[in-house]
Amino acid sequence: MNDLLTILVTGLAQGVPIFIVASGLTLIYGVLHVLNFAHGGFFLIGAFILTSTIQGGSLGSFFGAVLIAGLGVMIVGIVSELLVFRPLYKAGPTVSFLGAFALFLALLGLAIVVWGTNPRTVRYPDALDGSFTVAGARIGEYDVAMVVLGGVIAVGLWLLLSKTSLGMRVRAVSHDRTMALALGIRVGRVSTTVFAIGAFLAGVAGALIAPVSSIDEGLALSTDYMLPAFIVIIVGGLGSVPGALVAAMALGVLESVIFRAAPDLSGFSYYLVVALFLMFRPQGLFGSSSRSIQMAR
Amino acid sequence: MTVLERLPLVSRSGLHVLIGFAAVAMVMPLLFSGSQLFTWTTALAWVLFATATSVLFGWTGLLSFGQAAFFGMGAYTMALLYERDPEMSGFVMLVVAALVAGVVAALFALFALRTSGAEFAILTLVLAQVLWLLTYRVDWLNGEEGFHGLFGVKILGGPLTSDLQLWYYTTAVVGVCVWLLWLLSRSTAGQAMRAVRDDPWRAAALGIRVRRVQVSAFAVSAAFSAVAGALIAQGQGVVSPGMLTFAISGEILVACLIGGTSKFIGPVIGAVVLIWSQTLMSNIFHESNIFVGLLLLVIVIALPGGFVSLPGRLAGRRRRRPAKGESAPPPSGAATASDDLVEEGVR
Amino acid sequence: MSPIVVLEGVGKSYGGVPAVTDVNLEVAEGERLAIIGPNGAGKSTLFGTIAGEHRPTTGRVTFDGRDVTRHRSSSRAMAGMSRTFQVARLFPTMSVRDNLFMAALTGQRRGIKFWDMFSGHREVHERVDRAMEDSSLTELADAQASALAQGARKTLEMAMAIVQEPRILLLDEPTAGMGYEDARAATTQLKRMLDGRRDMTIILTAHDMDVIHSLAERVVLMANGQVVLEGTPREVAEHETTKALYLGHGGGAA
Repeated sequence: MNDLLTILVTGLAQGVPIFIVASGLTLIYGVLHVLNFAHGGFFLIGAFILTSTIQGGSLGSFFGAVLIAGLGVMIVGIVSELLVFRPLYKAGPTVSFLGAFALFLALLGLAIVVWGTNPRTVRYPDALDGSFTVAGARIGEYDVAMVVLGGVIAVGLWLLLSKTSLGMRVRAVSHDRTMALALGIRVGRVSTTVFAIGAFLAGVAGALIAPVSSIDEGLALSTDYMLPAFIVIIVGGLGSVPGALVAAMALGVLESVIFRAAPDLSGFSYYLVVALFLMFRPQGLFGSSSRSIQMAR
Repeated sequence: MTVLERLPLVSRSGLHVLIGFAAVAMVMPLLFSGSQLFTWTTALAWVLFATATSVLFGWTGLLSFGQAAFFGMGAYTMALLYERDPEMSGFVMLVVAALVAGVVAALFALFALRTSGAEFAILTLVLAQVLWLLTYRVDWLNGEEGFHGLFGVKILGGPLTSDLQLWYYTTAVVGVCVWLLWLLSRSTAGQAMRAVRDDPWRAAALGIRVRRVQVSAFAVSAAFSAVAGALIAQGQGVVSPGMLTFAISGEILVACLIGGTSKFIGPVIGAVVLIWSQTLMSNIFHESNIFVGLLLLVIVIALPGGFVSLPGRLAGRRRRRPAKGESAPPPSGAATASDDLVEEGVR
Repeated sequence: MSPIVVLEGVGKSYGGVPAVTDVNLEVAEGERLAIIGPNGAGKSTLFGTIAGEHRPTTGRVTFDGRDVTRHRSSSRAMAGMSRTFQVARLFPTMSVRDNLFMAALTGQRRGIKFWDMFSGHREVHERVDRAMEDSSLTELADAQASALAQGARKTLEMAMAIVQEPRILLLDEPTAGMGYEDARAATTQLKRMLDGRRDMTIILTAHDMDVIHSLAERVVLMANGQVVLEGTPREVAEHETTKALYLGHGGGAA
């Protein structure tokens, strides 16, 4: 019984970095219609930057390093958007998709060139290193911090998208690019901004998981987070941030339950869920069905 | 090849493909030996893998990010068969591997093709990822250890004992498989795949069963990818979960893209370029990802049609393209329609 | 003569908004029928229902005595129903010849086989050659479909439909998007291509009265998702309902 709370918090905490990665992915998909594989690279570079910039175990140093990781990756993201995605936009989504994959490989390689292949580890910040007991359930302090941070980011994104003029423009572009152009919205600038936000979030997510995981050359590490993030945005509906939030949290908790109940099956839950989802509700949780009515098959 | 292709019988039966492979099989050992010949052997297995992938990606227009699933499935099938019966002929193993992958792929595609475009690509990736996880979770798949000793697989009565024998064996198998795929590309089914890629709505309105064509393409692609995986397993002697990773799925698309999928020979060139550049680069820099990534970026941005589009581009630069028929660009018609399809995904 | 296509109580709504309601229609074998109506009258929706582009919400579609309501467009095509689209749909990376070959081959109900070489099928290739002559596309035989101009695209699509030798030919706005001159030329061309194929049933939608007068024998006029008038082209064109409808909607087309 007491376990339930632990499982819940652990699950939510696992869902947070995936939500952060996914929210950037889904925003970028909405605006650019690209499944940005390079996000895995952004994520990894964020983690590496944190390992290089963090000093000591104070909270300030940790979150300072998280912020630096986010900003550093944001610069990488802006450069990528200008150099890679903008020229490819006209060539269509498949080519952009492959361009993103190429960028992903290049970023992985870059990470190895800069940081080498030795795994790096980071300690939890001192203030968050322990756990406490609520109603008999042991809860990790870092997990709680993650959940809080996830909430802050979700609210921040919601405010950004619904209350600011930038958010309005982003929504306009993802709704109908041509119409947005006709309305005088500078679509190119919106795309770059969204890319910057997405990259920043990926960098932050990467930095946040650094204490939880050992950071190494990364294909496995980045796919461990990127694939669930892809699944989350599909389940949540491509382009939908609230969908990504709900899906990431639900899947995090599900995975945590399965890990406790049937450890052999852990790791599969995401895949199972996406399979079921695509079977029964291909447009995702919050996606609207824009598919043409009945295809020939 | 072009001269040969003028001869109707040769070109119709694809004899020039077989002749080409026979020539390569004989010439390479004169120029290379040892580890270099082995790199060529690996490259040839990748030639088959790339051509098989192109059936799906190039001909039928379905983007799969999970080709490693079938590549690995071929390798694991061979390893399991060898474990069960070391006396079994390698050729039988290859056929079984192809059948297993083909059937799994067809079943998977029947379900996965309910989606399209990006979602479809992700589903294929999920398949590969699930198989990769399974290798760690299922006891008899041996986890990280994988399987060893596949050098011992019997070919025509005994194991292959030298790089040269492995070379001849690989070239023969790849030659026959690529020849079969060449015949497929010239068959009505191959043409139907192109039709489905170009415009599934038009194809359906002509009476082509779009879904059936896509599922068949998926199965064929998987079956030949499995053969390529089994050949690699045999050549390296080892099967490990690494063969199922996302990196493999990505690299094979890179090979297709480097070469270009508009011509049959594109993926062949792409695979050779990829394997050799990886080998040379990892000798120099230790790390080849960055190079492959950058190479792909350059190609995607500067030469989206791949190497096979190079001659046409150069020719086009010399003399401005002569207008065929009426010179007006296609207005709202098929060109844009097909872009939309890529975006909406091909159902 | 027995009807080849029968619609019984066909209705189609999109998200609860009806586009077509309760249409009953019989088309006799060999008949040439035009569906006309102002924009939004439901003619495209009705046409799509016949072609199998989408399923009707209510009612039944019968083709040659068989209920095809739930049949996909590929099944309908195999049963002898060929169509064109408002904006011509072709295989852009294939040559004109290969486009026609694909059509001719599927029109033969041959099906598609792995072991069946494309270069075989001598008599299909001959039919393709004849189709190119009939539609004046011979010079463009090796041009890529994506390089064709609008007029040639329409002609090619029409030739693809006809080379299938369907029992029923569905033409969706054969002169859509063309200027007056081009539309006249296209109509003449189409009429020529259909000469000597009196047995082929035709259903077309059109805005353009020229097309209707030169191709159709019978016209149904649609408004608000329903058939409001039926008759010969002349009868319908001169009827005041028609005039009211078109003038009421800004006119021009009639």
